[in-house]
Amino acid sequence: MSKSAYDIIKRPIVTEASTDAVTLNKYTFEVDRKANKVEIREAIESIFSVRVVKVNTLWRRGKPRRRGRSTGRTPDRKKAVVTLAPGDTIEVFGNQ
Amino acid sequence: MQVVAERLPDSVAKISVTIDHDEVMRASDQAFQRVVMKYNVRGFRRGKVPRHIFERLVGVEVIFQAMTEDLVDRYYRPALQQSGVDPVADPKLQVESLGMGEGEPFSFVIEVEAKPAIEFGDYSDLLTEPLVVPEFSEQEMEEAMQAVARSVGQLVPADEEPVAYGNQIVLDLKGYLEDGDGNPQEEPFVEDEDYTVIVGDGTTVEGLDQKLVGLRLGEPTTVRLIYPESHPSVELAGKPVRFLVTVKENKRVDVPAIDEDLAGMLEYESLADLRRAVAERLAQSLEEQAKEERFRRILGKLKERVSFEVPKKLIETALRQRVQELAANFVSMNLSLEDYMDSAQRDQASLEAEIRPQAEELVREQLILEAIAKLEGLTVEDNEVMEFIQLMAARSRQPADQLLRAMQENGEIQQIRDNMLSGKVAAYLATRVVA
Repeated sequence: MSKSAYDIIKRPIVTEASTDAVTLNKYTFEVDRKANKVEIREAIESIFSVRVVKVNTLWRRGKPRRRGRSTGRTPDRKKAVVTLAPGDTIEVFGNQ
Repeated sequence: MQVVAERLPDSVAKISVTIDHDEVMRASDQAFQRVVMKYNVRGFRRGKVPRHIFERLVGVEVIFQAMTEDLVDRYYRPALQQSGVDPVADPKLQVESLGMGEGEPFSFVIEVEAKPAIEFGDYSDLLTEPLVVPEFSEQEMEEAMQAVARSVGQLVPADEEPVAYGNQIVLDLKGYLEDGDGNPQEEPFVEDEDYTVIVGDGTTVEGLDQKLVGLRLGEPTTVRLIYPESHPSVELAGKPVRFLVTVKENKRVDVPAIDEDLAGMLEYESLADLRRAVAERLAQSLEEQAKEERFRRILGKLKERVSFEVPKKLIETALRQRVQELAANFVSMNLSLEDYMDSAQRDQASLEAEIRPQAEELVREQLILEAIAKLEGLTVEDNEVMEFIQLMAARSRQPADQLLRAMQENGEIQQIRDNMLSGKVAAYLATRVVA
């Protein structure tokens, strides 16, 4: 069964750095760990009705966590920085 | 800023304030700069959140709240000043429009109990009557000299003489209430073995003084009288009583003769000097009296001329002050207001109901005087208040700055200023004569 666009794009990442990147038309999302750049592009284009020029992905590694004797990790996450075609915007970031 | 003021019933003033949209935008930016520092937003350093994200994550309401506080703080006093409203209580504020729409102004309404606007118009016709200071007569002068002589008089034993007015006597005194048939009760309501009284000074129960005159030392006497209806104690008012009195000591005042010795005793160089000083004092007191009478007459006419509602808040404040003064008076007589109320079988409400008309009248006069001060441009400067406080400090022998601090803490400075202003207006009205 193929994944829907909403399974691939988990949430927008709203931080100081990501809002700064909006000025360069770059939008940051947390995406499914197994999604590739093509899937991410298609998902963004279908959800927000925009044209994607470039997708950069990166791993945000999970951090070690300890609870008494047992040690563990927080899950690894995948981030995608999506560059849109000039003139296109995504409202989620509240940029006017 | 546009200000529209109107008067509502019950001394309430309604002031509508409108602030231009541009000013509102500036205030909203400033408010955001301030509140953004107070919130920690995940993903941003403190104070670094862009406004549109802040509004989405924290809410636009906090910015509006801060902006409203700023604008109201900034424009409240100027709006009062511009509308000429002098508030006497805490205001009720209502924001009508936040001014966030395109070109929309910010507007708020203040409803506050305020001093009434009193319009006299031209009142110079009340000031035409000249200030007439009466001359004192020879007899008044002599009486004043007698009073001076009496004030330095010494008490000398007069055990052989009958009791006379002005004497200081010591009594063995027992007072009994009488029943309907004129029989005394068994238990005295008052018993004192050394009751000191100056005959005729009005401190004893009405009528007792007269019956003491003519008594002789060591002769037990029964005095019967009826307590006046106005006596504060319910158990005694209007009741017949019987006093058993025995004079134990009788002293009269030995009044020195009015001569050079008296002048010397009072540290004057000669009798003529003393006479001059007494005459001056007498003239001064007559002048004060004439001024007071003229001022009261003019104030009375002014009161008839204007009618206005007195703010309830001011009456309440005056009422509380009056009750406090009353309590202080009782304390100075080694009594307490509570004791008095118990013995007179009265409660706080009836006391306040009795004082309320006086308090209202006092406030009415105060407001008229303030209006006159405004009309005539009379003011009390800070240095005048300071001088007064220094004078008070010197009188009570404490450092002026300490007294000033204490007064500031108790919020008494404004009261002093108001009193001084009333005094100034009173002096103005008493002496100003318009041809």
